[in-house]
Amino acid sequence: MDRLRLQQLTISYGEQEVIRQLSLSIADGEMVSLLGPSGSGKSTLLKTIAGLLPQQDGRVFINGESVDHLPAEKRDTVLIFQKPLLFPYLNVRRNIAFGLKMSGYSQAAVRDRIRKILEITGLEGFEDRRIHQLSGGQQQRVALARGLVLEPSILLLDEPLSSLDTELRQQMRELIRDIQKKTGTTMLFVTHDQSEAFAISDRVCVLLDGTLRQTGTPQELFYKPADPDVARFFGISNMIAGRVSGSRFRSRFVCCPAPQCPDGSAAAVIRPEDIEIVKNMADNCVEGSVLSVQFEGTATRLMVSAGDELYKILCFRTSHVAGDRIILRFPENRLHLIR
Amino acid sequence: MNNKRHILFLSVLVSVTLPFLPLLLWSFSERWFYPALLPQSFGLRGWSYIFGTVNSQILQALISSFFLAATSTLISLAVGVPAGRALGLYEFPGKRFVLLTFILPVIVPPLAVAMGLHLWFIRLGLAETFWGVVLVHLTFCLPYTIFVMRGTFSDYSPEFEDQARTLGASRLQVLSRVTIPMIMPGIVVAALFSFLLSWSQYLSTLIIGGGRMLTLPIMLFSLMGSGDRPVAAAVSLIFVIPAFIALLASAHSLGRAGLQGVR
Repeated sequence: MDRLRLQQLTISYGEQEVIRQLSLSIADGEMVSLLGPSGSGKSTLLKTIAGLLPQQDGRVFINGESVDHLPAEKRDTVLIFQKPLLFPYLNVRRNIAFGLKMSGYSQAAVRDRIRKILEITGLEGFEDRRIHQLSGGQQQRVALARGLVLEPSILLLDEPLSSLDTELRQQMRELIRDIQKKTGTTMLFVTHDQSEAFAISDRVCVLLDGTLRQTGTPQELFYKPADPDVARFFGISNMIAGRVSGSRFRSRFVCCPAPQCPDGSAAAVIRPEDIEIVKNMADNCVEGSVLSVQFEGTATRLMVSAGDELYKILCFRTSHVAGDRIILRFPENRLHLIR
Repeated sequence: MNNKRHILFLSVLVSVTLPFLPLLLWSFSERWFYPALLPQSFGLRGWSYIFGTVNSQILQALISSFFLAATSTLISLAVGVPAGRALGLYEFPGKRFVLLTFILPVIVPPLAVAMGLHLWFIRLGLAETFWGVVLVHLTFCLPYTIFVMRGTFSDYSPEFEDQARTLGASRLQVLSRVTIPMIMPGIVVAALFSFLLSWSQYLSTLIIGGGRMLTLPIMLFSLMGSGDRPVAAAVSLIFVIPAFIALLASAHSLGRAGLQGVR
């Protein structure tokens, strides 16, 4: 059974619709990321699922039951915010116990559950610390423990790592992934950072302008975007307009098989690192001139103008300079067709 | 380093307590004439005047001062905390105007406020009543409470309340377990301000109370006029007690505020 199911959910702030007609299901034990740029309505969606904001239309089901009439405190969800939001007047143990106390658990049960969660989150020995004695990463870990200890049907995480520095973020990603495997908690993780979403989740949902554009595994999203906006979001700006006829896609200089594609106009996209620079003209090749070279460390970004179009290319250890004439090859198997 | 700190502490202690030394001497003196350095004879007449008879006027004044200050404080907190929250957390049209009107009673001389209100209070039947005096004290207590709470709430993040709710706290639990503990330092400071303001009101109590409300400051002024120095000194010392408690309590509450990153 689905842990969480959203049905045609519409949420607005005043006049403006923030989320439009969004449907989504999350199965038991799944780790799903909701990926989108800032301002795409990700946090709003989480708050609505948690019961902190009302929806305009549509329904929210948790464990198959509608929760639309339930206030936040009665829903079996916990929301972890961007900031740790630990209560400064309580120590670590009391912070973690907060939710359990609110639901009236017995002293013994509270102690037992806290011991277990401290072990899972690696916070043993910190129980009696004051909040201001903890580092940013430790605080976020306590916030995580405070949510997990309630064993919610679904844990909602609203960019919990974005206030941490890069290295710590890496560690916390692994920790969250690890905890998720150990406890089997269903999680919905919101982020604007693609690598974070890819590294952490089984399935990623792309949210652009308040609508759910594509859902799939990280590889599917990255290599096979469903529409131009998703492609652009993942950094593909190389789009080649053309036509499909008789299961083949043709443009001025590119040609590739297009199985199960209806005839008509279409576009092929290719990732900047998949375009090859070759010595001799061949099929799927075009000659162009380098407009600019940007060295970024691991990779170098070339801007190439070829046949009225601009292409972005990522290559490694290149010696090209602006003004060079080069030949670009678009490998058949790296082209992905979108409508 | 430690030595320096001791010197600082001692000098503060001396400069704070020194003015009270003559008061203490006066309150325990029987006869003290110029130019003697110390009283010629000591006694407990001053203190026994206050506590000697069960129904002494001064004991009555002490009690009514206390109830007046406590009532004013409670009401100003009940009104000032929500008002401070609205002013500290939300933007709304006319906010600056509202702030200005709240600070007016502090800017306008108290005599003008009390005289102006007196006419209204007579018409409304509030003059010379307990609640009339509470109301006039509120015109001074409320602005301070609102401004202290506004400051507290402008540093406050209402996300803590959302967090508590998703952790399963009901609205009442959010209030008692999250909101109030979070703003406690502000509440303590505002309550102390209110209490001390009401406790030390003379003019407004005299005008609105019309001699019916005998509070400690009113007794004190009449004692000063009568020239009975030992009794006046003893009453003054009692009058100062709440301020001392306030000093200690605010030191304690500032220590708490440190936990919230204020320090």
